[in-house]
Amino acid sequence: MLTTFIHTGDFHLGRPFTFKQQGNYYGKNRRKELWTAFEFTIEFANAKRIPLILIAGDLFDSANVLTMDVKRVAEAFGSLKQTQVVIITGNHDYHGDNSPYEKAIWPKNVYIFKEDVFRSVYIESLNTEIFGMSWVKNQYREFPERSFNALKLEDTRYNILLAHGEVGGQGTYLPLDLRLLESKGFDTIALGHIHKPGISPGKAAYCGSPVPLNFGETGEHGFLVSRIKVDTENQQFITTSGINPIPSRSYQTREIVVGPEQSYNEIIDMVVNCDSYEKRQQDFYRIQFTGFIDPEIQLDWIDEDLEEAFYYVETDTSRLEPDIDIEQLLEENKDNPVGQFLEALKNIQDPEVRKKAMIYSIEAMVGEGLLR
Amino acid sequence: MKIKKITMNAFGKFQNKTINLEPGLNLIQGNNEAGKTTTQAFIQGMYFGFYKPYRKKKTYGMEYEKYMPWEQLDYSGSLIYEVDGREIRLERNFLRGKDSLMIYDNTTGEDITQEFKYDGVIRQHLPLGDLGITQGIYNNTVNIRQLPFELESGSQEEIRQCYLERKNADGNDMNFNGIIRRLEEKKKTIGRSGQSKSKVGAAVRKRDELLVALRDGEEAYAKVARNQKTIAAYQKRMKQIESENEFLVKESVVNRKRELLQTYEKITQLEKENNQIKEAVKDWDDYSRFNFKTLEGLKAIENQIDRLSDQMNYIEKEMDDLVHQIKNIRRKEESKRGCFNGNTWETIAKDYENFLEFKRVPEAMKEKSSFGISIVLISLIIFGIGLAGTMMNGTLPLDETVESILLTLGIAMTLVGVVSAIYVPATNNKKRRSQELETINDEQHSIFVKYGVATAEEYETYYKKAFRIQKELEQMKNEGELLLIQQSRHQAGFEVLFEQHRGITREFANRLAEYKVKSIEVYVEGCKKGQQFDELMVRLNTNQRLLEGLYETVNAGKIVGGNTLWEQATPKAEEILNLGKEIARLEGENSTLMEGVSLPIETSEALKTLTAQIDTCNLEIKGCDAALEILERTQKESHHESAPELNLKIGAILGEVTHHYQGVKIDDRMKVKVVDPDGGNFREAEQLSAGTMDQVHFAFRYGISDALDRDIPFILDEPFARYDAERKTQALKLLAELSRRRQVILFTCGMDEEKTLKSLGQDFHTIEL
Repeated sequence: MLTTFIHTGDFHLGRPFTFKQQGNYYGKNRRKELWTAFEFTIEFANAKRIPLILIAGDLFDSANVLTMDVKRVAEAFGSLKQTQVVIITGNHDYHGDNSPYEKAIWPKNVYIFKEDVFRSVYIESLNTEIFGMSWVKNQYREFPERSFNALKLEDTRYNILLAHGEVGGQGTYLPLDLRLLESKGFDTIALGHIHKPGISPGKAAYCGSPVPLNFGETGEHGFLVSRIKVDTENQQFITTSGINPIPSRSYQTREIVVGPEQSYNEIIDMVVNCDSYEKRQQDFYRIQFTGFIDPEIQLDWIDEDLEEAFYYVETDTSRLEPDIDIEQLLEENKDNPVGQFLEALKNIQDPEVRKKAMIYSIEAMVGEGLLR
Repeated sequence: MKIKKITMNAFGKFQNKTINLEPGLNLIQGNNEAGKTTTQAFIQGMYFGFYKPYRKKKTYGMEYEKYMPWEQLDYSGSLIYEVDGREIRLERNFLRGKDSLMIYDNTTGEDITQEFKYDGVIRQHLPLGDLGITQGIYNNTVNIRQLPFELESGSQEEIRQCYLERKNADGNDMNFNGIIRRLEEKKKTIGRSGQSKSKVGAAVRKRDELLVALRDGEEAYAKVARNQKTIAAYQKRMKQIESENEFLVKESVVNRKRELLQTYEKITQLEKENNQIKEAVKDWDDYSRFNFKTLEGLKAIENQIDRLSDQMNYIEKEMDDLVHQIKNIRRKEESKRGCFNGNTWETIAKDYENFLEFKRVPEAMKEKSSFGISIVLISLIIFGIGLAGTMMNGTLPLDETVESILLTLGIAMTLVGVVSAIYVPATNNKKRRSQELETINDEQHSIFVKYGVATAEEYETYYKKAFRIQKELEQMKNEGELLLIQQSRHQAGFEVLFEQHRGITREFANRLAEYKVKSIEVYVEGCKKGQQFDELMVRLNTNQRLLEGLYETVNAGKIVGGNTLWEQATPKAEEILNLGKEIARLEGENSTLMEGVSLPIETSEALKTLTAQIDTCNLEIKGCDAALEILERTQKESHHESAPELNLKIGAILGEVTHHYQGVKIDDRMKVKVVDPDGGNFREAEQLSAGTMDQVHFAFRYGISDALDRDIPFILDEPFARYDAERKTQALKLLAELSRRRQVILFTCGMDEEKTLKSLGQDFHTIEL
């Protein structure tokens, strides 16, 4: 009888990362951290004698994943002493030509769904039937309703649905209708694809990515652990799930509001004081500047000046305005070349180019003493 | 405009310090650190405050902190000035958070703040706003601050800026070239793709290197992947061989024995099963002929027989009905005929005819009588001939003696008949007529007696009744005949069905007889057994084949797979060795391939970062280019005048001060050049001595201030520190002259200026700090 299981997925092993700050090691380190998270999960399963691990797709990031990485995963699964592993593929690691799953021989305790229609695997020792569907191409506009409707559930078994798709989505990522999924009477609906973990009031849950993969992925990450109790009175299974966090670097976005009276050093201080030294040396930081800056201050080299205070830092000044009242400037200079020049700058089509042209022109005019 | 009084409540080092100023030339003297620069800054602060211009949010300039009093509790002052005959008092609080400016009419004490232009950012009114004097214009024209001694080029720079500000204030021109130069410099720090030293140039170079590295890496790793695939295939093959070898190892004697034992067991089991099957099907050969197709045929025949029987039963029933009906009619006839009193209708009819005859002519009776005799005779003749003919032909199976007798009798009857026919009628005619007439009455009477009637009328009634009954009888006879016809038809039909029924029943029996069964139920049983038989035979054959295989295993030393042990026992050492070598070679190749290149994923990450950086740089360059393009266009459109008038004026002032240099030119890069009288060439200001440079500066500022058409005091802080006595005298002369047109405030350190002015006989007002 199944008493507990791990629901995870979206590891994206072998994923490339894009960081604004120079240096190869950020991507490399992050990939290592993905492996650490994976191994953490395996060790947890072994230590706690978890009988079942569900992988809800996107275990690998792409078909380009190295053979040695696939073998490493197969080996890790093989090291599980009392655990069965059931895998479906997702939009990143689908069974196409050159499928990553073809690059290794999988141990006997691993079952991989191969088709893009719903099938099931029954694990007799656990009295558990897992119904799943894998991706075999990179797009699914429609849910395979026919094969889903044909599924027959045995009441006496613990029934799990395993799918990789988008609840309420309408795009190409396998739209899922939660009500339809729930109507079938599964004891658990284990979903993958959305990187933010979430447990619905019903029986469905997204496991989320085990560790955050970019600045958009905030909040708690880890894998879901579900525990099952049998309600003998009502003859039903009661499942309770919760996130087991995985220690990892997180992504932090900080907004720094700059005022025109602030000097360059004060701005640097503000950024550095956004978190403790330990946190800054641990996590990824994105500094979002807003407000108005003294036009005499240039932030061209601020990334370099902040480098030492952080493990990783990138800055965004796109929402920062120079503290110059262009309208007043125009008003006071409307009849002279300064006015003509500023007016012409306002007519630059591309807004990004316009903003840069304006900032640099103001800088130059300040430099030339025009705005002192 | 003239400043009359300044009061520094708390400003810099000053506490409650009041200075009264006069129109014309004011000489404010004080040693170093006495507060000259502070006082000058106070005047500027009173008019403008210490805020940065054109800001969206109120921003304090650096002077704010510089002149903040030590106590930091109060930071304020007032200034009284006169303009257009009106005395105005400014009261300013500089302190951050409490900063304010109040403007009063000093004569009436009326708050006139609202009359002045308002600045929404600093939230204050601007005393000089209506004159169009901004802080920038003020500082670059009338307010000449102390020159930094250490930086000679600083003065050149300051001249340049003053000149620019003056030109901007006049709305004539702006320093296009200066801005262009700054934008070009900016662009250089961003760099361009072609300039390898710049930030972006380096990035582009790095990107190109990475692109090559990525291509190399991808090629190498693609090859690695292919090799890995081959290695995997080889490893699989090796594993296969190894497992075969492992199997062979297991094929030890013990294993072999065990296998043989198992095989024997299987053989015994199979043989036993086969015997059982054979026993079971021993007498079942016949059943193999039984089949369900025939069964279907038999069932069809049986159905046909049933159908025929049904039809026959129906006809029999119909016939029974008919017999019953006929019987009824017969019975009715009998009862009707009872009315005839035992006579037949023919008798009754004949008697009635006789009765009627008696009534008619007796002639008729005669003819009738002889006619009757003739008939008897003719019948006798025909019968005789017939009898004789039959006997002659011998048609009847009789003795020859009897035949002869009968033949003679026939001939005799014929002869008697012929003779009687010729003689009897002729002899008896007369005698018979009289006899008959006598008997008529007797006859009539006997008829009445016969039918139990007394009179002819009663007889007539009786006859009529009998006639009616006769008619009914005839109808009944017809009905009866009709029923008989129906009966005979049914009979015929029944016979046809009977024949068919008999034929089919016989066929059915024959076919059952072929299978030696008596009924179709028995045939069904046969069919079932036949099927079972077939199944058992298949089983038997399969078992037989298995047995043959097992016999072979046992007898010829083969294993279940089919290959002999000896074939498999040959180790594939050579193949394993070759595979191992090939794998090692490929792995070696892979490690070489991977050593030489960077991991594509890492290269592409670096590329992405770089590309993003380059994109940002390109955007910045685009921004610079766009600004530059617009600048150049604006420059062309505006009239770029080099202000020759101003040049002339400044040149004249410089000539007066130095008695040496006369011509001044400010080039398009805002560089001041002076005409060297020795040779007439232009000399860069930097090439002049520091003192001369100061004089050029003075001339420049003086010229600009003088040219400024607004009446603002001219304020100078130690402008002559590096002047020689002669040039200082000339400069002071000029200032004294200027002070006749506008208020001049001159801050000095020593007593030289006072002495010189006195010696020159100029009017001035001295204030000691």
